[in-house]
Amino acid sequence: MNYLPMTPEVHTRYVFLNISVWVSLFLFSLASCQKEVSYVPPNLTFRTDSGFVSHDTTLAIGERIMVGIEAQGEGVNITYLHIGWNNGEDQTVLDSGMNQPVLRYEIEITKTANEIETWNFLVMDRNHSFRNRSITLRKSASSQYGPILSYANILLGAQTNEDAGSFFSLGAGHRYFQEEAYQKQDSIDLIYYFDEYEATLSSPSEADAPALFGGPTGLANWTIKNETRYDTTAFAPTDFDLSGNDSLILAAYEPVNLKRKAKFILPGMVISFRDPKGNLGLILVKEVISGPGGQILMDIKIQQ
Amino acid sequence: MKRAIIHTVYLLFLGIAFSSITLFSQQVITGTICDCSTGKPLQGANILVSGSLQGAVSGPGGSFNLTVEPDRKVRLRLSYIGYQNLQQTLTRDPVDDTIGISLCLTPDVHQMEELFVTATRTPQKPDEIPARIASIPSKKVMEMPVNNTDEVLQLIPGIKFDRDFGIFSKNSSVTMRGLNGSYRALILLDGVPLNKTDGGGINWNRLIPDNIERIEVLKGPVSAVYGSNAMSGVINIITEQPPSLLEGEVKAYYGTYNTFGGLLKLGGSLFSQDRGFYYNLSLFYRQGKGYITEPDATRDNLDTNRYLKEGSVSGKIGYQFNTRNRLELEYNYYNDIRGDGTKIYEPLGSYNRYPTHFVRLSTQNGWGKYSLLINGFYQNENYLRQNETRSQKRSGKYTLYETDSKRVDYGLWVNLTNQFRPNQAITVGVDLKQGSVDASDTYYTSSDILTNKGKMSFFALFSEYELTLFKQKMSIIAGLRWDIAWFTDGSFTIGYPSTLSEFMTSYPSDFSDETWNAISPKLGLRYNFNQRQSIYLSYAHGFRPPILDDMCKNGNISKGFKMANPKLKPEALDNIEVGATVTFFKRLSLEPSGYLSFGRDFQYFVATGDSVFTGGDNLKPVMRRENISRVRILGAELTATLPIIRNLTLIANYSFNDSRIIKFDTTANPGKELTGKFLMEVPGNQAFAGVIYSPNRLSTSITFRYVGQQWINDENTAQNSAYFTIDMKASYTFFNKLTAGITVQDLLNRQWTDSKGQLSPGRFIMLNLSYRFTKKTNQR
Repeated sequence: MNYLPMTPEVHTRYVFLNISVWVSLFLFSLASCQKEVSYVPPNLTFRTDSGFVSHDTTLAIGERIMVGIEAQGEGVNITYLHIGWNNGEDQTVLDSGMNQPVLRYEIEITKTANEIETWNFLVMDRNHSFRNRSITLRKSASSQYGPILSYANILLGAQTNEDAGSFFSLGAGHRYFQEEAYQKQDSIDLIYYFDEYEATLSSPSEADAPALFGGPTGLANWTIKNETRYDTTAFAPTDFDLSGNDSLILAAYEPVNLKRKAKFILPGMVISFRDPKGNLGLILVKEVISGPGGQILMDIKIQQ
Repeated sequence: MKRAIIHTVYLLFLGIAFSSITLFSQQVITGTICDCSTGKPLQGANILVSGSLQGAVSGPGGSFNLTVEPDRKVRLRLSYIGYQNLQQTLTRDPVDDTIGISLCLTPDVHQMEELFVTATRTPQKPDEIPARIASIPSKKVMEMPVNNTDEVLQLIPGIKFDRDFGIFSKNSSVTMRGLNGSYRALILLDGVPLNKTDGGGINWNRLIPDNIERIEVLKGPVSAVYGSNAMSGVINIITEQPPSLLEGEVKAYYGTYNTFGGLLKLGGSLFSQDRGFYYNLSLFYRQGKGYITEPDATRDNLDTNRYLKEGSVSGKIGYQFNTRNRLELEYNYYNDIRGDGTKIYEPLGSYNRYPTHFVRLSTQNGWGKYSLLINGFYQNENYLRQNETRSQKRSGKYTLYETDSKRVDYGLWVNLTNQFRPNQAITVGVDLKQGSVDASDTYYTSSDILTNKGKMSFFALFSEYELTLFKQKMSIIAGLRWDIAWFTDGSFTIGYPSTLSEFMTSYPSDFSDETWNAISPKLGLRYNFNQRQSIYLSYAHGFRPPILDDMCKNGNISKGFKMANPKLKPEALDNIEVGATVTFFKRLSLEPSGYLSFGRDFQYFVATGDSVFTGGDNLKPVMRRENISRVRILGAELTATLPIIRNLTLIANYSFNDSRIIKFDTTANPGKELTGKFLMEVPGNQAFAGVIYSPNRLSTSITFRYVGQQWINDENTAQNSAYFTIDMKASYTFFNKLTAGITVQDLLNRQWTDSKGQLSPGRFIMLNLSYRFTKKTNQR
């Protein structure tokens, strides 16, 4: 082994170099430590322009209002919107992720039969800071139930049924095959299909439907895709049959539970729905023949 | 006649008298020779009397006898391969004609690579180790056409590395001996473990090839010495020893995909009579624009380059008290950011980062027949991930979350060796280690904050006995180790649950404390017919502990929803193998090995029978990891090395593996039968061939690597195609200081796709230019 001569000068020089290196490493590691930072929450306001409600109010059962919000982060994007509905317990109406500097959102709210309900709007930004606002709706003492429209014995075929179309317009009360429905996209509200083991009611905007209705006129090529949302109820067929106004429809309505499709449909089920225009309704399932070539027979009652 | 008889008798008497005078005046020198650093006797050392042809060779136990002329002073010259020569002057005792001495030789550090430290944690000669070992010196590392340390391992049969995106991979997976899962191989850095208790693997990107002194590999289970993770083998990355002179190097890189970077190294020592300080320092940086790994046919506007930026600082400082005693401190900090190939809104898109601190403090002490090694280590990896995705199914739902996972492992490893006989030694040791995880997934597109925590503490005792027989032709090593571990403080909590994680609130969040233990025996025998032919036979047991990620974290996986299982037990493996080293015509060296392993309690996901809506409309099965299967691995390996002419060497290797599940518990998993299936991601065949030509200032190499077909799922319904790459490297050194080089990986630009359909980088070229400087000094 070759040796450096251990002169004081050489020794001091390289000891200093060593110390410098290790002090630098220590300081570097300290600099890597991060301090706690507090952030300013995002701004969140209700829209006050014409047509929007921005404060607590009293409504009749079934009365509809528009509520709009505008949110903006303090130098960072808005990443989350949560809309909650509280009728005695908190329930989620909407959980949506995004990543944008300004958020504007509108929702049409239909007054339920509850005496008091509160709609909570919460936004979060990229710094994980929150802000929330709420609107409380009270039921008007003079509320009255409204009229309904009935459709009896509506027969829809599943996706490969050649005798009955799968598409239905609530406004026209008419059934269509795919090619015809493609020409009337703006009026199609309901779709029926059989997916593996499930009889399913859906609508043009639902994510799984395009896979079963393909081709040039398939759902993937539609430019207008209406959305109908569904929920199950505990009502019996007799309850449905006896319903002469929208009281049963409104009693079934819970905005938090509406889903993009109703699955595992069986005869005797009463299904609640909200159509693209915000009208609420009920469907009584009378018969289901399984399979992609099968069909569903149902009665429909909807708010006028 | 009478006069003739008297004359003859007189001459005879003179001759006898003269001889007697000569005999009575000669001196006998007896002594022993040993290794100064280990105390081990050295057989075969040469002892020469200076200025004469008299000499001797030390025998068993390092002993020798030498009869010398009756000079007042005798100067001896001792030499032995791998050691520094020694000159010793002896003064004749006027009373006693016999001189007894005990001498030791100091190992020559430039030949230290001949010793292997990984097998028993103490320096050993390779020909005393009854196992398949390999040592890759730094010269070979720098000759290979590689950009990452794990890629060097292709020189060794039976090792597979998966680095599908080259330097842009967030990590590499290194597996050995027919086993999948990087947590089934133990990786050491200068003798201390890098495997994290949380996930079981290591981050290979932290290990810079330029900082390596050598890589030692021992294949087959080594849990009898190392315990956890040493199931398929051990890979020990030994970093550079500081040079005896002051040396430094500056290097710059530039390569494909706008990759560039630099390296600065500095090191030296201040020694006086084998005592003094030493140090080295290394700074490294590299960045690259990257490329898009999604194939053209499926690419969309969310796909972006997998970029990288990384840097590290490494340093070592030590003080050598004498040849057997030293204190050493090592520190390494690494940080990187690597894009994941997706960018939706965030400026950096999805990425992964692994800032890591590593500290090692070691002492080596030797006195008499004892050697003590104490290693303390601390590793803190703070894994950071930003993930943004857009679901194709759920109406393009956008999700953004960040993972912050602190994985801390620290411990103390102590082993004491007693060379109580020249041919026998015993080593005892105690290992302490604790690993923990404190992690959170914070969502920005919902209110959820998921946290998981857990801790595992390890304690182990081990002992190993080494015996050499028949003039060190036969060596036997037997070992036994007992490990015990405690899992504590496990928890999984959900803050502000939304529809994303509401369903998880019904599953357990506080996990019971659990304990497990393992006993690992080993027995090996090696016989050296001569310096070139040998054979070995061994049995060993290995295990790998359950990882914290499976024990205390619930979450969504591709198969469904995963429940944590704190009751997981270690997997175990028993291995028998036989191997040989054969050299033909003093040139062609062949190293064949064959092995048979049986594993039990291997872990697989099992359906619990429940299903759950995981935030959407679809029902997913609830899964949990369980110890439910047995596996069998049958394998063979061969390495061939042929020095063709001076400076030109051919290396080739081949490995075969048949790794299957031989029993799968279907009662725990009705409808899923994996008995007879091959282990996924284990190729049946691998091969490597390379030619290295390094005369004087030129260094060139060209390599061929073949990876056979491998199943990409447990059910064996889909396979990855076999692929091969040809890589090359060339460099030239000017004026002994300036070196220019080029490395080309995937020379033929044969892009392949990994199990997820992502593309490899294709032909990747890296240029480098380095300047090496040395401070000249006066020799003592």
